[in-house]
Amino acid sequence: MIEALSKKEIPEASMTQSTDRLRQSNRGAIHVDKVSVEFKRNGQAFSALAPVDLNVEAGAFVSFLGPSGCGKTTLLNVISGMLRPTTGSVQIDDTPVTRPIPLCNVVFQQHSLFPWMKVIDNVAFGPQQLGDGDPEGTARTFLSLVGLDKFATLYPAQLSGGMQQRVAIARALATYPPVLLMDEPFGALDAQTRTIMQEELLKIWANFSTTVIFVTHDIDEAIYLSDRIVVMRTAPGSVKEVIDVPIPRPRTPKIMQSEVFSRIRLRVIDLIREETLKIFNSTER
Amino acid sequence: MMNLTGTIGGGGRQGWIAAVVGLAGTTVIWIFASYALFVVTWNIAAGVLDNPVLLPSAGLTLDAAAQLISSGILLSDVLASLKRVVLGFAMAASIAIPLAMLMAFFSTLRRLTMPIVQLLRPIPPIAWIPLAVLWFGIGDPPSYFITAIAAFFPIFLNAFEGGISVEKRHIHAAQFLGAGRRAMIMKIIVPSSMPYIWTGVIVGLGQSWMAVVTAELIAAQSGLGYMIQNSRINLETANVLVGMITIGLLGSLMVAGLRYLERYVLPWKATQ
Repeated sequence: MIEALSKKEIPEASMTQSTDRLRQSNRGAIHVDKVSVEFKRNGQAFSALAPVDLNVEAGAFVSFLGPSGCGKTTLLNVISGMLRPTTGSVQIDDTPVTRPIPLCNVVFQQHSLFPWMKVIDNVAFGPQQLGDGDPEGTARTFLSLVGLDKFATLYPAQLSGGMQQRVAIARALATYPPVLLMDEPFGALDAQTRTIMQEELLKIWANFSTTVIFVTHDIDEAIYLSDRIVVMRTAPGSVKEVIDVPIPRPRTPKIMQSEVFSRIRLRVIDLIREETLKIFNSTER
Repeated sequence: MMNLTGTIGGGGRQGWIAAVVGLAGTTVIWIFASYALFVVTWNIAAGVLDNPVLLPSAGLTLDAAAQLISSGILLSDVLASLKRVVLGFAMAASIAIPLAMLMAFFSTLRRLTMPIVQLLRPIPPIAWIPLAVLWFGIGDPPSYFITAIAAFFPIFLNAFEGGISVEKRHIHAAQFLGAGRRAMIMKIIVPSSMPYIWTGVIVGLGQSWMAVVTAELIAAQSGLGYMIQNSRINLETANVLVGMITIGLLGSLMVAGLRYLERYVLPWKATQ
């Protein structure tokens, strides 16, 4: 369970001190090669993910979209190294991912901040582990990036849900991971906070070369944020269709009224409806 | 409906007293009221029995206490007992906590040793006394052994619970952030288990304190337990009561002290 990390796995860019030098490297390309996942349920093998092939280019913002049970979280867990696939493999750039390593980081719906550390120590933890010369300085930089530098000395439990997610994002980015995985990060927030968080995320992401995989079941959210949307097929989960979102950046919530947006939206709704009906009918019987 | 009215009424009274003497003052007043009730009941019982060998009055007991304090006997007995508790407790904690952590994270070790723990756990510390006397004779060493045994299981079981309840998402988060083995143990696993360990420490110290008296009844020639035993033989019932009350007071003081320290040991819990 506890695995020491050898120094050579640490990406060089994790040692950088400021955020400006990003958006220039070509790190963070993801190669998913014939990944399938089977679970044992009551002694019976149950296929959660049929073989999936997927390539995500460095620096892209890609959403996994689909009804619950389509395996989008399972796929994300495999990419992050938290779950071993039954077959196939995942590579980030040229490094095979078989367990959680600092080439990527994950922001979950329920934050995984360490409740026993102050906000600043949570954010400084990664930089410190990866040999940053000034972990606290880096942590402060990232806390101001998400607008929470004034809350550095509080404990996570003293913050609101939205603030906790911003700290989680700051902590995840503070080690400059080439890949950032987000599993319904705003799912537990109210609608207003959620909209603001989406805008903030886009602003922050604009400064980074980080590849983002964003899991959601909110269609508008997926279109608004992504370069590409991977619509998932259900039972077993696999890739149904990949849809490009050719809307220029920087984006504002206004684009939701645009013609392109509604066209993509209708297409996605159709695809997801098919899948949802499939599950609905199979459980009805 | 009744309950609601009662709650509001109670809150009102509390507020009125608190307004005059402050919140800490209110607590002190209630403690005094509780002790007063205890002493009154005690004196009524003593009056009914009318036999100071069976039950001396509170006044007689107070006299006996004054004498034991001024002669220094009480203090030396208290110190003897405290030393045994502190040492035995420290030995237990220094073995129980690392062992519990190892067993929580290494399943082979856990499978191999957990049945032994389950077998030994229900044995009360008092049942170890014959062995303790055989092995260590009479005096401090058997008492260390007994207090350690008494403290060991609460500390171990709670720490183990803490170890297995470390959340996977925190382990994963630390791995993504590049934590090595050392940081994983010292900065993730131990602090995450600390609320459980701390509960074990509080319960363990209480158990240890109770056990020292038992041990001293049989296996020592000093300490509060020994004093109680000796006074019983001499029919000095007031001294027995002084010993008992001292045990009660010191025991609750120790636990209160640890509860007070909690805000420093678990600062992040204090904010919730």
